[in-house]
Amino acid sequence: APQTAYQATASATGPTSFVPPAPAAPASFTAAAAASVVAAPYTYAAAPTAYPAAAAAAAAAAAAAYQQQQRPPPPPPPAAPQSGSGRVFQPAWTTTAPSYQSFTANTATPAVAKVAPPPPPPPPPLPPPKLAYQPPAASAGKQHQQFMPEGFGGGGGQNWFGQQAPGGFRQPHHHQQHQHRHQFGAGGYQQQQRRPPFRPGGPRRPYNQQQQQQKQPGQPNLASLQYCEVCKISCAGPQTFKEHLNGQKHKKREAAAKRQQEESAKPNQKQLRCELCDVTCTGADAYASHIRGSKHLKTAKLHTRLGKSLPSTDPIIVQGSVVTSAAGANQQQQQSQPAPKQQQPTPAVKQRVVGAPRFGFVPGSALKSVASDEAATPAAGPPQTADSGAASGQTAPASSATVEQQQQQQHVELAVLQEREYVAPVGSEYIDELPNEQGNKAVQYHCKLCDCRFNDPHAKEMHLKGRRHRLQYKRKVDPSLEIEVKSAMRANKLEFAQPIWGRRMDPARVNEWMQRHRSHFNVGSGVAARQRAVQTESIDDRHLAAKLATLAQAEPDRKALDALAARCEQALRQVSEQLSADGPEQQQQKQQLNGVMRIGSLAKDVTLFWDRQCELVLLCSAWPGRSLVKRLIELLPDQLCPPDSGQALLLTVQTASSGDSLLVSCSDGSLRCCISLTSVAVRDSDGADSQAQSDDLLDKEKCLEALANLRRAKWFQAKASQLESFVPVVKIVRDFRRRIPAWAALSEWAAELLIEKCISSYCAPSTPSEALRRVLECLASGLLLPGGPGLLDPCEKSTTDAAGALSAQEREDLTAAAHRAVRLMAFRQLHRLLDMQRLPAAAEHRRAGGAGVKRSAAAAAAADDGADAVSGSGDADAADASAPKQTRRNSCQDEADPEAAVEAADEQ
Amino acid sequence: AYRGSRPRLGFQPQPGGPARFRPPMAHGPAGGGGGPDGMGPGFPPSGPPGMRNFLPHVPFDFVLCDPQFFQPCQEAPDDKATNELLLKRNTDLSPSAEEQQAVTGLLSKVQAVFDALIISPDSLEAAQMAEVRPVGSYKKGTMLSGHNVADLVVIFKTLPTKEAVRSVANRVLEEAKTDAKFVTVSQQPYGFQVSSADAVVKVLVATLPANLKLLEPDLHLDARIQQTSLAAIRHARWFEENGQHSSVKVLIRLLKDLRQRFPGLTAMSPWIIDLLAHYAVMQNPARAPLPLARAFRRVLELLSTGLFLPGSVGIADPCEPGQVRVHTALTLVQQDEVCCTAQTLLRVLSHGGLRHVLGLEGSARIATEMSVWRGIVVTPSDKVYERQDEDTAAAATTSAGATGEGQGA
Repeated sequence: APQTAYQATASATGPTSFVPPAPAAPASFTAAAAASVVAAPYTYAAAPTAYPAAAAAAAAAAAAAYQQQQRPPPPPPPAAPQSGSGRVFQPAWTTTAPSYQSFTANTATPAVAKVAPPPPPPPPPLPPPKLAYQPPAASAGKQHQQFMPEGFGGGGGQNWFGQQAPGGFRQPHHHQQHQHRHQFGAGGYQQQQRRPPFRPGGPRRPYNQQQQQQKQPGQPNLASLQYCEVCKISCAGPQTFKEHLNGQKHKKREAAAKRQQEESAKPNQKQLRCELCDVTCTGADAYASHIRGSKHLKTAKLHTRLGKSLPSTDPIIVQGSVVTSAAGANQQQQQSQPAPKQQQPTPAVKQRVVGAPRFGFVPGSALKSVASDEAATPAAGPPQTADSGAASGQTAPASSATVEQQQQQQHVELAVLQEREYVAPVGSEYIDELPNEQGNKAVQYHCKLCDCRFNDPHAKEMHLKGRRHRLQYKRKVDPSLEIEVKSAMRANKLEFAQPIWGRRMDPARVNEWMQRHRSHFNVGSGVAARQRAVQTESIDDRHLAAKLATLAQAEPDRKALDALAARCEQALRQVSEQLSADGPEQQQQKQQLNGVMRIGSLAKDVTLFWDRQCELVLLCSAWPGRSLVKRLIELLPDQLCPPDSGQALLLTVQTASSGDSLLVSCSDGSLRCCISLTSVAVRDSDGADSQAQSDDLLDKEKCLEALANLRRAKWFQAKASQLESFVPVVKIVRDFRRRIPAWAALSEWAAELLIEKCISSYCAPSTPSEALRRVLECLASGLLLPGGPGLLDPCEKSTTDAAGALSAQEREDLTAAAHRAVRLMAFRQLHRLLDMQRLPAAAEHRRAGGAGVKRSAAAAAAADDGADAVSGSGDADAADASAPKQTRRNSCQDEADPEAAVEAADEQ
Repeated sequence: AYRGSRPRLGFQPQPGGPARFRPPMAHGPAGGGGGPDGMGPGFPPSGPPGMRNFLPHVPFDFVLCDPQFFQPCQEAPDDKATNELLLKRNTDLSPSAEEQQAVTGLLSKVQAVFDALIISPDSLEAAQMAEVRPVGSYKKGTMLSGHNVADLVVIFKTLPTKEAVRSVANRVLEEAKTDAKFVTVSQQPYGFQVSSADAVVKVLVATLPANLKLLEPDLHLDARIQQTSLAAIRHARWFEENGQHSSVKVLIRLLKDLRQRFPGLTAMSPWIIDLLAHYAVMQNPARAPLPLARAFRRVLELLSTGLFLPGSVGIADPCEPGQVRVHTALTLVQQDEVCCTAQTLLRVLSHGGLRHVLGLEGSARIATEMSVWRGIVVTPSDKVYERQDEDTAAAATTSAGATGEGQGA
């Protein structure tokens, strides 16, 4: 009975698929089609008794298929359908046939297939040899004439069309396909293994059906042939088949098939589909070559051997994800009707294209004539359903007209599809015809552009239209050739490539980014990156570190100096107590010592190896006079070297040469401590006051200088000592000032102030070498030159230039020295500036622990050039395009990754 | 088995999209990958080994510094006289009306020929043209007097063979001769040059950027020259958008004049000068153009501090992808020379030698010889860059074992 259903399906598909695409082999094809198509009307018309069973079996098969759908992959066949769709059929079974019968009817499928595989194996339908885009009308008439004499195709088709057309023509072919497949795939063959396919005592079979099927010519014994419908393969034996069904590949395919049901194709893209092989092609050319291909032939052969109907080779247009259609609804509707009546096996009305433009369309008049014959028969046949009842003689022509319209629509659709994707072959002159090596007639083709060979003229044609060939042609012959962008690539381009490129090329945006970038450096948000750089010492930093190591004061010396200062401070404190205790009442106010403070290099902890002197400032409550100095000289030695303390180091106290300050020196003359006296009263006093007491009082300038030094020491502690890299740079500049004459003019204070300003205006943490380079650059940009801003002193109330003492020539010399130093640093010759030996490059330094000197110079040079000589896109402007090109250094690129640079920019 | 009888999976839209087409760091809304800093694991460190931490040095610049640090100690000198002097010099350098007219006349003729060729491509078989654009100093309005050259970039749709360029040149000659007497055409590596008695039009031939990689050295014009011609279009466009302030143009003219007179500055290409002038005038926290006198001094300051020295951030080329520093096109020797000359000029300028710097009096020897200004001796900077090759050779030869390494280095 399922065979009947199957045949019904086949016959339903027959009419549309019928017009064969192969004028080359019409006879064989029509024979095959005739066998299947003729069977259906015959069955229904002449065997009314068998019909209920057939209908029930079809319904059961449909239910089984449905269950298959719900529970993949191959489950055991349902003994009784329990699903919702199964219930629909329940009445049919109970009323018309015993359940046993329905069961056997269901399971009889393989038997039928085995015993009487339907039509004789015809040679597979050959595709048209030509791919030309002929006008549809040209071949239509011919086609008609060719096939109408046979007289069956149109008739069967007419009947089914007539019944189906009112309900809607479109049918989800996937659904149909699936159902069709599972009739055989699961429900059939698993049963077959358990049960002998044909039993004499089995359910009775309609005689005519049996007869008809047995009448088929002898078939190869297919009992052992196992066919998987999903994968379209046959297996040698049940064991293999079982393994296949459990295999990964099969499961994958099944899942893919299921998924495909949901989303069949990309929206907005029409595809051509070969139903037989379940292959979707994107274009008419691809489809044609598939039809010609060995894979398709193989599948067709297998199907023929299995006795399955061969679907037409005409393409089915798959459009978008719209797969459900009116036909599907129609089917549902029919299934829900009570089955006992003449429920027709749902014909698979698929959206089928008849013959494409090349074959044209079977004219309606011929159909009509056949339809009228057919329309006369239903009286003898089973009563029609309400739907099919309408398909009487009167309605048949009308419905066939509808069919015509729809077919015509499809023609147009396919024609448009082909028109759209039609590409003219290009570069045929680059194809060589080569005689075959074997010397037989077949000609080989060789494409010189793509360097590939074909044996087949069709393949050659395909190649000439193919994307690869066209790309090659565009590249090698004609750059103006337009090639359609692949949709996947296009999407990518739109999404990613285009905007990035657009961003990159937009000068305004690049400019904006540059400015952000620059301000980022000045404001210092790149702290993290800079810290990373700080962690790995540059070669300049190592030079500086080495230099500082040589400059550093030995630890004992520094301690001795520190101890001397500490002793002086302590002694002064004791003297202060002494003075306030035993001083005369009237002078107590004046001679009070307020405090003592370190200034100079010791206070700032920037002492270098030559430092032998520390400086203290003694702050008095009143303007100090020479009398006070004398008194201190009297009192200090006792406090410095108390007789009972047993100090080894004898200290002598004397006035400095000018007599304004005290000088405490060790007996061996190695260390000295200079004590200046001052008072805030000096600054506050007006001129007249100081004039009156000029005899005794100390020099005002000296006092003010000492006061300023106090302020600077405080400023240093407050601001500068916190700065990274400050102390090293101060030490280096101290070294410059000592060694280089041009630098000597720069006062210590001016130098410190300059360094502080340079570092703190940089904001980002800087390595000593960067800080030093910045200091040099600051001088080089004309800070001290006439017209430059100068160094504003923060420790003075009035606007004062901390470097104001420099003469014009000194400024000029200092700037020139800085100019040279800047370039020395930029060209990695800091060692010349520091007056030291060149150190090995970083890699060498690490490898040999600083001792490797083998190729140090070479490596250093290489590293330097690598870091510095960065190739860029040099620009000769238009006006100079003719000028000799500058030699470029391509040794290295620091912005090696422009992508990364751009993306870093985006991040910011 | 019937392999491949199912449609390939590639036909079906995949939910995530093919990942390999995605650029490594897509920061679209769908991005989401990578760490917080955008550097996902496995992201290759940028730059060759050894230079991964290369951070360009930002040279010192008074203008960009926070004003709190370098407040001027004395009243800013009056720039009025300087400004007037600079403007006067600019007038001297600008082309006269006749010169301008001569160039414009010749250029419009040539351009008309090309326009006709673009409109009716069939009239010439040798080449098809996409567009024609004036570029260079004429287009930018920064021409110097006595340099009556206009530049025109012609973009071919076809590949510019030398024969095609020649036939185009001949066509231009034919057309131009009809209404001008002494026009000659000479073929050049960049295209051809149309010269009349008092003006020159350089026609730079380039092809579409997409065709550049199809060029063959023997058959076609040099691809590099074509690239510079294409870059010139970008530069002209950039300048149109950014360089329209008169201070910028005046400064460009003054700098071009400096470049002509002082040999040490020759290495600076016109494009570098454009960028430098724009930077000096426009690049400041206020985003307002600096006065001309300040900008002129700033140019020398910037060069003196080493804006164009190795390791400096320099000026990034706005017309190139990535972060290409323009000064890296100069060799190290040239960078040293440029810096040297600018430093000397800055000191001369500071000590009152503006007229000499501008070339109103004196000679260009101030950049190379000692000079005295108001009793102050200005010593020219000397070059410090020296190639390390001698050291390399010495190191390589002294230790036999290290010979190979030395060569490798």
